[in-house]
Amino acid sequence: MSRSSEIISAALLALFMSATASNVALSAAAGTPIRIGVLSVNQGPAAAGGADGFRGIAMAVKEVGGAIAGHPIKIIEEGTDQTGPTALAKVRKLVEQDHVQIVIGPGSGDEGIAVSNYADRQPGVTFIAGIAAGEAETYHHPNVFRFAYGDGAQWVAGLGRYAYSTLGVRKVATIGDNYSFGYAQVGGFVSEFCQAGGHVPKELWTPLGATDYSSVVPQIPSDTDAVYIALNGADAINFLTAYYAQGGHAKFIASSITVDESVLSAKGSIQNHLVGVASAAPLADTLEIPAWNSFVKAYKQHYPSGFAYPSVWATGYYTNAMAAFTALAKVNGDLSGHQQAFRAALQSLTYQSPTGPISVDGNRNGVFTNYVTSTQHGPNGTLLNAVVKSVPNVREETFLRGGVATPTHPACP
Amino acid sequence: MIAFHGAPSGRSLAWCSTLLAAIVLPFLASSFVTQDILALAAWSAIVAMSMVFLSKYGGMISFAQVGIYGVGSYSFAILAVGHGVPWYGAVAGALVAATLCALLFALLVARTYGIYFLMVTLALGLVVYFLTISNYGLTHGSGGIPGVNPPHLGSISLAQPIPEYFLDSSVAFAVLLGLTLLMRTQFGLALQGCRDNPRKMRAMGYSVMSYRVIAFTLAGSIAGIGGVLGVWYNGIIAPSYLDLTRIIDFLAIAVIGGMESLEGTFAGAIIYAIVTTYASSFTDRYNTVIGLVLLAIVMFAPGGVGGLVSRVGARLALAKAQLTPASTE
Repeated sequence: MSRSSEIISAALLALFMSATASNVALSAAAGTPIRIGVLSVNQGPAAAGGADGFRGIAMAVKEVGGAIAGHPIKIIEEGTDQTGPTALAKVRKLVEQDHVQIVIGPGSGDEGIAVSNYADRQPGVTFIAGIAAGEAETYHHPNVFRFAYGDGAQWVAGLGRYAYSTLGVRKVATIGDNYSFGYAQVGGFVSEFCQAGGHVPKELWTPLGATDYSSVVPQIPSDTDAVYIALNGADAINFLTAYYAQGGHAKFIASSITVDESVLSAKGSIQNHLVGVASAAPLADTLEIPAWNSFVKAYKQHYPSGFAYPSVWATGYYTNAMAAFTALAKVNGDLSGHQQAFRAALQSLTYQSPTGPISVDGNRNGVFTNYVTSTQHGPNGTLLNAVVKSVPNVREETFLRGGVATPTHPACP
Repeated sequence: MIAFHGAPSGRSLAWCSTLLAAIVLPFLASSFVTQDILALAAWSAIVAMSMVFLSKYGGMISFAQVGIYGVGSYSFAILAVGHGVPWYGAVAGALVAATLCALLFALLVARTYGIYFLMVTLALGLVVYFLTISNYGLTHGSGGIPGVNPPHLGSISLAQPIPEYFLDSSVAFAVLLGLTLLMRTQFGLALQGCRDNPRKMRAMGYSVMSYRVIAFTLAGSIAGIGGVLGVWYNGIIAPSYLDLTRIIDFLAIAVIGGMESLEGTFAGAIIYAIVTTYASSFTDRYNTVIGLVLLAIVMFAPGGVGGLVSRVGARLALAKAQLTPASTE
């Protein structure tokens, strides 16, 4: 009878109870907490890496003693599942409900697109990418910064040339996760490899989180010298299992995340195929610089049950948080006036990160040193990435000459 | 006191107070609650209503509604962002595209029933998902199309919490009202006849197939409306808004509200928005919490919130009847 209206009344009543009318603007008085929201992945194939991202943030907060210029740092964490909708819902909650002034994150390409797009609706908040590395993500978004580590094409700077001239590879097939970070990782390699004179007859794309690659393997031409694999975490393990089960024999070259710590610490026979694999990333386990060594030491001390070495997640989130804290210290924690002083400090900052100096270009995107690596046996039977070449001052515009990478661009069949 | 005046006035009073609360609420609640719980719930309820409408009146449980909603969202984004079509043109285009897509789907599925209907519509929903992910030229692959903005009406931006809430909730209310009234017409009664006894209806000269096709197409238009409001809310559309997880999200809203209750979708959407938003503040395993809520509903209140409220109502009426001495009226 009055059923329908009762239902709606019940729902509205529930809402009244949950509604919070606190919408107090935060002043910049000394001692006011600086509220920082952190987005990282805590579900799906990248969850192990995402947890390391939160560790990186905790290390940075600890390093500055939990406060900047007398302002305590208040960190509010939210976990995502590597998709745009979840990242968007979480960032809305952080900004509109928790009233954070700075967002650090997210950690994955498509999430980055959704969050950068949302940043336009929140001009008063500064967004610093976690390690989301889709191309051109900071373009046209004046409140979005990305120190560590620019876009996914920059992460493989040096690898295409290394494959052509040092490994002597001429024909490469590629397989990538079908999303913005995968496009960038393949695009970065292909553009450099093609410029060096190589050919890429086949570019394959598979959905993120695919488990069965057995139908993809036969599509790899048999006369390729090498397969370039731009799959992440569990995806890479699944592909390699299928590839070797079907008698694959080509050399393989890995993108930045294929042989990262989460894969290197994978157990089983897969490990035998992971020795001597070339890849490139903004960091490497055996980096011989003091800042890296002390960062690794601190990481192992705080997180004995973490990865063998801090992953790109821990290092990237740590670096972005420390860049933010350094800039905040320069302006004495002043976030008034639409954060203009803070943003100017970020723009002019060169932060000495664990992996080398890092700054942002005119589009607020990272300029940093990239490392070409090769996997080697470490102590206690573990595997690690050893540096074979470093590429300083990697800039995004190098890779954006022909436009943002897509499944069909760049190409040289 | 009021209850003794009889059913109609009690009912209208409940409606009026609900309506009043819906109007006052956004001015009392924070802008976060207004936009990210209420407005989100309002447009989500529209999509869920297109599901519940088909289930309740047509006996069709369709998993394709999220795909059709996606066609609406994508059409708006492609027209408005990709081709610079003014918003009203893009809205019209989106609704036409969603309706045509629904008509096409309807012609494919109208002859199937029960579990087969469910499976075919699930497949169609996922077809839309995979088309958007692989058709880079049109839909920009998995990154999707960002930069979608709701229009300005004069000086009012529909991206602002209160205007967005009133737009979404009044459209949702209009859809609820329209469907309820439509189901009282001859068409509505015939559709329900087709649901209950298709053989008898056929014998009486009704084209059961046509009724099912029309109902499915109509539900598709409604999902398309949800698609436009949804893409305005999100500012972006991408394949991950149409994947299996989101199909289950909308199904969860419908189930929590009750598959037999159009009004219940509002309660379902609000509960779902609250649980998803706040559970993650307490635990990383918020999906488990959502799963448990769903499980509890299915086990203890199979009719959802809608069913629960009507059951409690019936209990109360029974108790009142037992308490009240012989009527003097």
